[in-house]
Amino acid sequence: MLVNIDLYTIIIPILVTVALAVALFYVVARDLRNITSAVVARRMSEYTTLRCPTCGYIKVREFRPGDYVGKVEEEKCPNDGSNLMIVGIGKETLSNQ
Amino acid sequence: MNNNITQVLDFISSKVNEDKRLIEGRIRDLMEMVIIEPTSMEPEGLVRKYKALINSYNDRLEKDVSRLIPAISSSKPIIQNFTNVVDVLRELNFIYKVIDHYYRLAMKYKSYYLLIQLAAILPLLKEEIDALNGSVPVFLKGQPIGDSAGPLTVFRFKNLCSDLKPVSDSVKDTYIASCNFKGRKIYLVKAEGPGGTVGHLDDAIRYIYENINARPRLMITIDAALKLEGEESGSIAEGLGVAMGGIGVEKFNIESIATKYDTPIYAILVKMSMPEALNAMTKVIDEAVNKVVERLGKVIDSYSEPNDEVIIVGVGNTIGVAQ
Repeated sequence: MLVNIDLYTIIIPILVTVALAVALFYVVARDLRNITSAVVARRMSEYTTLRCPTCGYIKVREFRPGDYVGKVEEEKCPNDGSNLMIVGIGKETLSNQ
Repeated sequence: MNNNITQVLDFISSKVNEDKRLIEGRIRDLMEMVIIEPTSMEPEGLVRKYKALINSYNDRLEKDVSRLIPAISSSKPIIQNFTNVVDVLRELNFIYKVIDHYYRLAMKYKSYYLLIQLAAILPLLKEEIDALNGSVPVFLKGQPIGDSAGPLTVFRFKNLCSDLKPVSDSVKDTYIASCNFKGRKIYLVKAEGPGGTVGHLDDAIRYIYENINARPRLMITIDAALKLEGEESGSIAEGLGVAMGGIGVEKFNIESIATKYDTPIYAILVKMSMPEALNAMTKVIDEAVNKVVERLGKVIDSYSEPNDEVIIVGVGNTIGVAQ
């Protein structure tokens, strides 16, 4: 039995479809790989900034649970003995998110 | 998400001595809570309906959290922070369920086009999920987040003022104070910290106009704004209008009051990504807040005269920032 396989109506559309499917699979797989391995900014340190309300002396230390901006600490200013106040809490990161 | 629930359970275990499974069940119940939007077929009064709904949702969640951990019910900041955590878990749970729905639907009908659509929006979803995921330990610790830039600006600005005095505590979860800056009477408005809350800024502004009878020459709103990928974190943009996110209820009310009394509204925005907005405040944002405080002084100087009244509104979640 003679099967008539036409180049333009059968073979080329099949080849184009297969090529598109492979390309789509490749693009989706690459995107998923990129998304799952996206660089997340690494945490370096969480810091608390304390300031003397009288003389402006500034001290930076590690964040401690219970710290909040506006909290007056027991710690005294080495210059005038005033209680230091927390004026900032933040974290330093290696890369920009 | 299970990892987040484990963190939350560890946090609760450090506060109370109760059966973990029981508490987990109660948290999962809160995560399933649904909020039904009011119908918009008849738009008249829609904003008031939304406001009532949001207020009752916040009250209900806070009461449920207090009941969940009775040992901390006396500490308002911890209750508010934990309410934020439950909110984040609800959001994560919702995203998970929607993605799972499309995945199962695609598998059921062998419709891979649905999966391709899902794959296409995956970068946006991952950005949001990472942001929400990272915010859970930050809320549990009560640290300021990027969104606290507005309240932190008000906190730092008050150090430049003299004659600072609280005006009223009649507006729930909201701090209103007045002070003097270069001869102008400044009204400072922010959510009341250090617990995680956004306050009721519209009610506070209405109070200033209608109860104190102030007639401000200028209103300045400061808020965190989501940046586009090409923009730098911590960059500052100025403009006109109410700088405020959310569904728009408070924004609508503030715009209405300002329009009624013919007060121009000035906006200062601190640009940041979504993970930065919901995670512990980065050094870049912290430094940007100092620049905003400087700009605030210049704006007041340029657009108002001595003896004028000016309102400064620090918009955002005031977690980790007192007054």
